[in-house]
Amino acid sequence: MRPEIPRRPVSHITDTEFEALAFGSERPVLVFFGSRRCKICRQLFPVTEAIAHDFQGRMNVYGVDAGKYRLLFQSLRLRGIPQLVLFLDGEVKLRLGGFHPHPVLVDQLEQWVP
Amino acid sequence: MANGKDGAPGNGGSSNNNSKAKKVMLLGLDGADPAVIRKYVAEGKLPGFKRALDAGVTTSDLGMQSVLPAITPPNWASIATGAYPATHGITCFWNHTLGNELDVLDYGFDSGLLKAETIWQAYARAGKKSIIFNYPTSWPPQVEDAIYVDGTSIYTNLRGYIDYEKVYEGRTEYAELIEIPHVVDNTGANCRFEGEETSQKAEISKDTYEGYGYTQPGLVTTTQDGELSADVPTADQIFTPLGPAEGWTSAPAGAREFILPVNNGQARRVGLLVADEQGQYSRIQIYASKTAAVPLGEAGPGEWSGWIYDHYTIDGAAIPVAYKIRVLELDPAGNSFKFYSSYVLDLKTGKYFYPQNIGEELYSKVGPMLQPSNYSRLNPQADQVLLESIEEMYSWHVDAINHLLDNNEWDLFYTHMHGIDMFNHFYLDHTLPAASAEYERYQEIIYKIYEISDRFISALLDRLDGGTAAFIVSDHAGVAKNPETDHPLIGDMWGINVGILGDLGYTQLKESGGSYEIDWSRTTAVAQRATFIYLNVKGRDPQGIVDPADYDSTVAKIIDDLYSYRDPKTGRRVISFALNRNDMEVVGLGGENSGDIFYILEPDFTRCHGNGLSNHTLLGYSMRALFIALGAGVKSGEVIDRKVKVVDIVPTICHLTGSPVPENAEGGIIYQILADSAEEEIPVTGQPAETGEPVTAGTGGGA
Repeated sequence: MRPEIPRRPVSHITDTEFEALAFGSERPVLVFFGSRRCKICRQLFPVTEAIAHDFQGRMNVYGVDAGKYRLLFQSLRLRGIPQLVLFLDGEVKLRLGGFHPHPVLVDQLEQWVP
Repeated sequence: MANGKDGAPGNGGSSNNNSKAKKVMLLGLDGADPAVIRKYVAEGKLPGFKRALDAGVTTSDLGMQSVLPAITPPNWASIATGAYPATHGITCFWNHTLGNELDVLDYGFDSGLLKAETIWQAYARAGKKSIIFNYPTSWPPQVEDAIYVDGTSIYTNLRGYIDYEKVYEGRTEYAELIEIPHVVDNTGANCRFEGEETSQKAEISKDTYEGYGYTQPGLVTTTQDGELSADVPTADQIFTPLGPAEGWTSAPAGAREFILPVNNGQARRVGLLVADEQGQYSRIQIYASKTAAVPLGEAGPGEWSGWIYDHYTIDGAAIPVAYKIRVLELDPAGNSFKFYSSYVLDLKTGKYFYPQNIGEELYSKVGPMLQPSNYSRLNPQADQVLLESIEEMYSWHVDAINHLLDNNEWDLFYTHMHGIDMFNHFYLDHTLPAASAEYERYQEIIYKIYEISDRFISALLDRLDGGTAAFIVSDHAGVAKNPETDHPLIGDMWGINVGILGDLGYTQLKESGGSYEIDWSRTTAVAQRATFIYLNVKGRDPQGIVDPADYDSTVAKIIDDLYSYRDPKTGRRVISFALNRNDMEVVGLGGENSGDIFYILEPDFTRCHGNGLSNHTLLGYSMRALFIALGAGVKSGEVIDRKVKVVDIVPTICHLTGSPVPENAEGGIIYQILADSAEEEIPVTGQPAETGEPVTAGTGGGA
């Protein structure tokens, strides 16, 4: 049996909170865009929670329901779900679509997150 | 290098030493109508054209015959190769090659589709150098020792932008920021995508052909689906809350702040609405951040900002960019504003420049280029902003062209400007009293684009130095829609048009997922692009059902049906003529890039241009191409009594300059324009004019 990867709960935010919490944050922010109806999203979400654990204190991690907040999804010009979007210094620095294994995501984020 | 500069022959044995011009400039004005120019010149307007006509040669109506279809890519390809579309292979705005699915079309602005040698390739064989500036079908570059600026679309840099144009509207009553991108991507949240797509690009879905009006064509089932859909104005729309400036290092007293999404929604800038000494809000300022000491740019009511230089993060790298804003509305009480923000130019990448550093060189020496606005239309303010922006674009082109011509060795210069054609498409229908109550305003807008074009050619004709000849040409013109008729559902260059061919039973549709698609299992023929009908032939077309044994009889039946077809509203015949594969060779068509039937619409039903005959006229407008030649080796102030065709331009230039003729040229030398005695010639600077028998070019008379 595989050892349990430590995770930290990721809270979902609304479109009205998004501007301040993502673009307005002084700390790096990773946002998970997905939907419960999407199988790969359900696979990626626990990985995102593991990332939230790994980067605790260095980066805030939130979830957004892409189906509920379509205009927000479109305004970021995202194509397809799931999507992980990294905000740093008030702008998008990295976008990762589809599923990525935990170590790959850690490697990618370590290149950006101070 | 034997490049003809001293009159010496080039290599290849096909140049001569009898050249009468050392250099040639071809100034292309897409959509320029000889009938309209004649009218304006007769009214004492357009001094640049008047000067060219006085100094040079034209035909009795200032016109020449386009190749068919009278559409941009095929005609500029003919003006570059001297060949007909059957030979050079570009047969509409979009292309089709037999053997591909009948709904698979290739974008026509592509030198890779050209099967005929261009004049700049022929020049290169003789060691002569060319500069090709925004010339359709010239990109990607084919000649190593030449300079290319774009050529992938109607306007320079139209596919080189890094962020789309936007309209920002700020109001104190707005509670949250809302951004509505101009393209709602169907692969987004509306359509679940659960794959391995990985995109680190902080940019909008910039598909190969994106740019306004240049998304892939599709099925045309209404008059709004086709060419008209390509003309629809679009912009990203941003609604942003306006409130007291807070947290700024140095915001003026009373200033109000707002957030600006930029870089395709990937970043934010901040703005201030600033009051004057009287307390009236009068300026919009854009800052990189609230701690910045000076704004990136600013503008007042009705004004353009200067260039706003910034850096956008693309693929993790900081890319230098430039754009401008133009204030549309500004409430003096400070409760609202609205401003336009232009396409954002990538100052570094040089995607459509060859050599690549030409882009950076032009932006540093001449400045960034403003793209014409397209955020709205058919209202006085948006039309004015378009005029202002396109005027600046033309001015930039004069400076950029002069910079390249002044600082590089060249023998041949080819350019094309697309303003008149776009204005024809946008405004011509509205210039008729029966079509619009504002027809006089629209007539004035049409005049303005000719005036801008007049200044463009006038500035470049200042370069004529006695050794240079110039050709001022268009590819086609355009007619306004007859207010008495509606556009028929056939002959639309934007895909497959199912209207009339559907009514006649040849094209069959089926429902699929709430929309319609072609039922190829029951479709015997489709109307594809502006002027072609394809049979769905078994063994040739991937989904073919027509037995090759029935090919001739089916073609004959369709042609019969087209001639019999009457417009339901007026009872008039819609089709002017229709030709089968064999017969279309007389109009320069045929081969693997043409349909099985080529047809032309009656003038009453022509959609601006393209599906009408290039000689058609309608209600004061024509579809003819423009022809004026002047300068070294060309007669002065004459009107020639001969028909000129677009394929004649290349052989004539080659004859004038003693250059090799492109291998596939089919036109003839326009002997009638040539100065036939030393007295008539404009001497070449620094040496006497040369005379002699032409030995290089042409078969004479055209095909």
